[in-house]
Amino acid sequence: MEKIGSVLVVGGGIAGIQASMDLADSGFKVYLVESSMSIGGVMSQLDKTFPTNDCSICILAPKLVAAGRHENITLLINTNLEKIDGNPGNFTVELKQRSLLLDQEKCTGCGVCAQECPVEAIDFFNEGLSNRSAISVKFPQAVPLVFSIDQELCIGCGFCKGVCKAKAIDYTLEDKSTTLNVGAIVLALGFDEYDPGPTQQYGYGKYLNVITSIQFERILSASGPHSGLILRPSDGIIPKKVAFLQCVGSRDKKHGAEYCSSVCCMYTAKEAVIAKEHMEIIEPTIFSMDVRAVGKDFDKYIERAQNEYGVRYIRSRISDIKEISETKDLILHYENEEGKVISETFNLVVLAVGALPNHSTKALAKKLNIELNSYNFCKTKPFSPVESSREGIYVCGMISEPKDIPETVVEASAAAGAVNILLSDVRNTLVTEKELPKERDTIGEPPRIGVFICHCGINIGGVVDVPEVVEYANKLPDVIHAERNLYTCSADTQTNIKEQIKEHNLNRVIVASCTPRTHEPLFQATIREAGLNKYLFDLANIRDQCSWVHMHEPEEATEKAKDLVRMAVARARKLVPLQEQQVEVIHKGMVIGGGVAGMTAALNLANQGFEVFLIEKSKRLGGFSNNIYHTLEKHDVQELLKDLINKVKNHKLINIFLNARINSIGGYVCNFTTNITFGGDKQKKEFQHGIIIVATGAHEYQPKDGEFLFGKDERVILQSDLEKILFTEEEKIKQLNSIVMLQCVGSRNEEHPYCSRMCCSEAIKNALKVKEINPNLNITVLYRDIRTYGFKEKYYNLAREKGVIFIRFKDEQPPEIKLENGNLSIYIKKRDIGDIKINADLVALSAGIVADGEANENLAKMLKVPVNDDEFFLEAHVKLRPSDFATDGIFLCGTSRGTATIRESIAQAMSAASRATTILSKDILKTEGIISKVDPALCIGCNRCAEVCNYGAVGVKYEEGLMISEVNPLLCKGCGDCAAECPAEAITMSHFGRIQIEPMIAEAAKVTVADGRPRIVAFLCNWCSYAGADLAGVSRYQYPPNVRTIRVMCSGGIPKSFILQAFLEGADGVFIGGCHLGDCHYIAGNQDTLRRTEEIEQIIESLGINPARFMRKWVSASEGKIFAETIKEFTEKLQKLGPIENDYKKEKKEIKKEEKKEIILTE
Amino acid sequence: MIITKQKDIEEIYDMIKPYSKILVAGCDGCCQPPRSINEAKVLAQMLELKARSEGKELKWKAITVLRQCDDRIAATTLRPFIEEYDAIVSLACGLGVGMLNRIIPTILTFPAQNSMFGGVENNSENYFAEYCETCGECLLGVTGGICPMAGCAKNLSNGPCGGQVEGKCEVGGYIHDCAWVKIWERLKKFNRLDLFTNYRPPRNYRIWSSPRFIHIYESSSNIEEKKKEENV
Amino acid sequence: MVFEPKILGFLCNWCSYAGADLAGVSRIQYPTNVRVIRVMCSGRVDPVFIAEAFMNGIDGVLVLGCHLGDCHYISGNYEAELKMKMLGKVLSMINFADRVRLDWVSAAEGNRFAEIVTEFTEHIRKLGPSPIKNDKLKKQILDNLSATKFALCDSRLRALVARQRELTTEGNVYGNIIPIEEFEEILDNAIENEFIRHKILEKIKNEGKSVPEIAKEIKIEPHKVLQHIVTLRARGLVDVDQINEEIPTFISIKEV
Repeated sequence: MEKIGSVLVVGGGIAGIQASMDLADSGFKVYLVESSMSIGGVMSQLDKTFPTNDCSICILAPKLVAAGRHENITLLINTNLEKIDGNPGNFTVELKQRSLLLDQEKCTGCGVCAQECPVEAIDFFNEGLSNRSAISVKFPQAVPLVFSIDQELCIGCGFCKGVCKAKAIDYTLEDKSTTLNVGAIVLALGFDEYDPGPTQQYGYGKYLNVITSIQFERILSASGPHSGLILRPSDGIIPKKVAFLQCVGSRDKKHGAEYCSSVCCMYTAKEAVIAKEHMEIIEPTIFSMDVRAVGKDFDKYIERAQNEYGVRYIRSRISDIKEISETKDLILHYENEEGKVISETFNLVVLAVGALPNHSTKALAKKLNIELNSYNFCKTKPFSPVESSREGIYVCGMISEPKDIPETVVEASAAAGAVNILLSDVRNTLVTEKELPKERDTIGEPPRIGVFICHCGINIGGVVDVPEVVEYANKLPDVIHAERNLYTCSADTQTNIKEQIKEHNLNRVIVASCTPRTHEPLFQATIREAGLNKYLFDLANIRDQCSWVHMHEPEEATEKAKDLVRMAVARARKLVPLQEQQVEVIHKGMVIGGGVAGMTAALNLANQGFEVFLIEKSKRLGGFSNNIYHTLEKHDVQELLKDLINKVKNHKLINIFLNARINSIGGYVCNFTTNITFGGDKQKKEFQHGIIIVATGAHEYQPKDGEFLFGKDERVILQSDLEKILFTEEEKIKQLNSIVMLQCVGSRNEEHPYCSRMCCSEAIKNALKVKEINPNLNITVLYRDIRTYGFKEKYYNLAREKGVIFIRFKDEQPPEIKLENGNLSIYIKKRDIGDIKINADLVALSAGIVADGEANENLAKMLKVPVNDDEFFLEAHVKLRPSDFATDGIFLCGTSRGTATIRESIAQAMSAASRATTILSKDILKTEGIISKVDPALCIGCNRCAEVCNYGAVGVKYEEGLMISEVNPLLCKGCGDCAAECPAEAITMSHFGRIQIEPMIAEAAKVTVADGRPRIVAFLCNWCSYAGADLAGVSRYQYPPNVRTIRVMCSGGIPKSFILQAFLEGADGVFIGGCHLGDCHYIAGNQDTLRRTEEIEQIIESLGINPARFMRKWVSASEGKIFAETIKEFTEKLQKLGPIENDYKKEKKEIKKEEKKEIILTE
Repeated sequence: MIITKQKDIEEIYDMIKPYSKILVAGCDGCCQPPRSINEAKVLAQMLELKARSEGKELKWKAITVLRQCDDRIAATTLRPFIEEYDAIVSLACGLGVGMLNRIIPTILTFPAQNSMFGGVENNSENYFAEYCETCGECLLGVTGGICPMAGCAKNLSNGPCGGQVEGKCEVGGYIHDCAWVKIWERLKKFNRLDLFTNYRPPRNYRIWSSPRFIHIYESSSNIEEKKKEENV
Repeated sequence: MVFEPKILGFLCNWCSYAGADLAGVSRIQYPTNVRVIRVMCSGRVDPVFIAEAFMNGIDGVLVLGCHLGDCHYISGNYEAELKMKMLGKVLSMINFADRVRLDWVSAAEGNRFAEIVTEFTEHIRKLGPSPIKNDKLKKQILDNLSATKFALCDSRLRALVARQRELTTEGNVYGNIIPIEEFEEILDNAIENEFIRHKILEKIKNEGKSVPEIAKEIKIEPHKVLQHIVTLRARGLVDVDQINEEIPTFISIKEV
């Protein structure tokens, strides 16, 4: 049967989005089906993410927008999968879209309907902590931004239809069925939170101050019900003592599920830390059984939570909670380390609820005929974590096992990687590229600007006097045509804009409407269709940052709208057409490391038809897996390895270089050149390739001589040695009476402050095997935390059932191993039951995984990529780009990134390969249009640009004669930091450069504002602060209308001269908003903002200007409220200071006084 | 590189107070940190704001010169503008300021920088360190490339003195490294301690006294003769 | 001294006003306490008028219209009935419901008009003067009435009432008729919520108060107060005033 080059992705959470983006970028048509109203999933509800405390919506929202407007992705919201037929490569699927009762195409997301709707309903997005209307949008940043009617609650009054100016509402719309042909299906259904309500576990639902962790997450969120204030539900008071109860619904056969939900330990630590950050007086206490911080840098986070934030950890599982009826406080009983029972009162209890399979998984599995495991999660293949039991159907994320966001993203890419292989023959068959007219050459023409001002129904028109703004715009220089539209984004207006461009021969277009963050691409596409370069467009945000936030001051809002239009015109006059550069891609890849991860990645690429160079430093393939026989789940690793090596060796597209060393790596994405020596320094080879995958792996920790008698006594061996004995010399085990296993050897200590992730499972695996061989043998496992995350918990339970004894020791009191009369004795200190002594015939040390420091650092230098403190490679973004490096074209997987099991390494390898495919599958890679440019005539070769660039995209090329800086357009991301830093003004940031922004500043500062109101020029970064300001608009948080905003891509792109210019032009105050430190979209651009603005503060103070006239504030995309409050506060402060002229006059008076004094003295 | 430090804005402003139209000239040359057009612009903006706070109007233009210490480059860059301006503020080192005053005789040039020393930037630690005092009698050949003039507070030719404790100099309170200890370590590394133990004759401080000038195109015989004269 | 209540009468132009005229023409005597405002239709009487009347010290309000079915404007008196019902619900929360009466008087019923006025005057006389005249209670009552007034101004609430008849008798946009009980439940909830919200707003008009303080003052459970505060904050009517230790206080936002 013929294969089809399209893919159905079910579930629009982060997993579904990532899989869709990867596939769409690799040349497949994607249908992304989401059962709710918007993509984003649970991640959109989160406040921050661990372990970096990144603002969740800040990092997610750009992804949502990107997925929403991707030309190869069709979003199908409110839609479920009904039926499936066919075979891998060619499925027929039937989808059913429940009616939204409005036309998705027409709805502009303005939200007037929700304001007028008379029916109040519970807001499920806020977990029932606030209200919304019967017609609503899931959350303000939702993609697609479409409202829908809740049919259960709607009373059919018809008001929404009455107020909808876009005429989107149609009560007669019916459910719609669609049949699609797709080549493969990716399931990314996600999970449900465990609901402790039905059984009133821990009094949830009965006691007001017992809430779930997801509710607490919403409470923490700046855009949540309490706008970031932590208030307890019973009385709106900040809870001082907050107890977090772990494992609610997890590791509990009675309530919830047997397995471990993997994420609760970390998110609880995060919630405790963020709570503490929000309000100093909160004292968080976490009650947990084991602290399962198994991921990269997780243990450090727990450590910081305890030491820096004072989060108290108590090892106890609370059995029940009692409420004090008067105060609604809660009493918890627990046993402390000394074995004493203590009862303590808390103001708020947060239940860390676990993850259950999605409520629709079961039904869907039946429809798709795929197998589930005993927990009702999707069953996957042992060594292919993304393959379901039915070929052609792949899974990713929580659908197969609870896991955190990075692992989910890895699996999403891995699922895409699996699809890549299945459908590689039909790649690019269904994606369509739009035929566009030839671009008109506008260079040399004087600007002819068209201004289109939007009423947005009543959203703008109800506050701003739009006809007046149109009249005003018509008088502005170079404006040829100005008009107003009811909805500028509607399809007929798009046609109209194209006609007007033609009729008036316009060469610049300005739309004054909503935010460029969502609508710029649409209008850019429109003017491109009319033959204009898409960068000849500007958008004045007169809705989100004008009419919505100044609803009670229509006159002032109209003035502001005029100013914003004038500023846009000033900028538009200086806009220049930009071209995206195109680079040819070499369709070959290099994989460094020949372990399981490296081989899997190489095979994945080769199976898609890309030639691969596989570099292995040792003499044989297989890496560390050569020492592993079985997995915990009893899958044969050696079998897998044999099979993998066979396939790799016999693949004609894979070139294997054993015993190889890399001499040099040159070039950049699409075109790398690598020189290697292989076969024991005998042969050299140089080859070109388009991408690099790093899969160098790690190795087992070797205990120091004498550490736990290792190397001194032959009965003390490593866990891997024990495994070898178990699988090759069974007889030996039969002669033993007692084995002691010691965990965390070389992990979680000062030298290696991270958890090695797999040692607990390895120990349990070997313990079970020992029991199988010799059931009478006594096994004792000495541990700090048993970290059998996910379904591995089952084996922990099994081991205990089989009689394996687990004894915990405290971190600071490790067991001692002594040699007594030729016998091995182990001593453990226990404060509750007294000290213990165990005799052992054999001691197995569970040695951790350590990175190959020197090798990693050498390679890192060659690739110009970073390693972390533990010498593992550091990915581009811990949460959302786990398989990429910040440098384009280089990817990573397996234990070179951090500790991982074989199964996880395989997923990562497929993920890295999938990410690489997004480049390799293209013939031509297009670069960003908005990048920095160097004028060689002005460059003084100081290399300051290279110092601030976080992407290694700019810098002086010393080897090429003239010492002049150069921008690599492939690597430049367009933040403009280098342009702001360049002392010679040799670097220009295109589109947001000096020539565009300086005229804007002039216009912004010249504005007239109402009496006594200070003039504020605000620079906001596109990703966080501008988004935050937009959110203030969407949430209708009012603030004074005297701010004129200038959008820049990154706050790091603002040179000092901009700020001084603003003051010179007459601004009373200057505001700079950027992402929170550490959250920068461009890695660390805001660090440079901080440095420059600190200098500015000193400069203006030295000039006699009150430093309070300058304000810098980090505002995240979820902090709309905070943005509004900040502006209010700043305005009030400036109002007290009066106009800037006051500062000048004051100085003058003082001088006069001094002069007088002098005169007196001389007299 | 010449390490410079910007003067206090008050001081610069006081210098140009009598003038209302000023040309601010950056220098693309060797001064560190770079004082090119952007720095010139920021300074000009600061001066305008300062002037405004004194109730005055100030007109300015910011330009940059490839090398202010090169008379031909400086003259050709600046001359087209000078007629319109009353004074020049230079962001170059003292050499640039001197040069502009010489080649533009019609108006005064004022310094915006204090020239500190000849030094280099320590990239990783973000500071500038003095490497050479242009003493005229280079000892670097026998000190492993570390200058005892720039590095030793007492300008010793045969160090270290008794004032060093654990490699730190007593002058300034044991903060700075003792150059002579560093010289010892470096020569030891290359197994050239013979250089260290060699006696170095007293320095000829006469050639280090201002004003100094050198005829670079003088014939070698002439130089030989001069040396003899000096030795006499 | 006998208490002479002050009574305000809203009379529709076509029936009740004519009825009152007839009483005059017929020289039918009735108490002097009522002051009449002529309106074109009883449907015109905005509940807010009545709240304002009470705020100004009126002891009782009479709203008289044409008999059901006889309305000069077809259904104005049905609307009046629904509006008064809603008003009654709010007023019953502050013990004022008894002081309002809606009744029907045709142009031919001069007698009936006099009877109603007499009876209502006696009724109010029995109830005694409006508690607003009690200096001790005045502030509290005024606050309550003011909250009532603003609750009645709420556009969502008015929207619901405006559509009630249509939705419960003729059917909604989907063609379904909503059972009257179901609708009333929604309406009752909405009325109660709006009233409480405006009561909260009254309490925090001038000074910030914490949730327990508000709860104590308006005698409602604190967790419900918090829910209302959340809603009011979302509508941009309330903001955090300050945070003292662990107790945040909230204050209503004055118009910018």
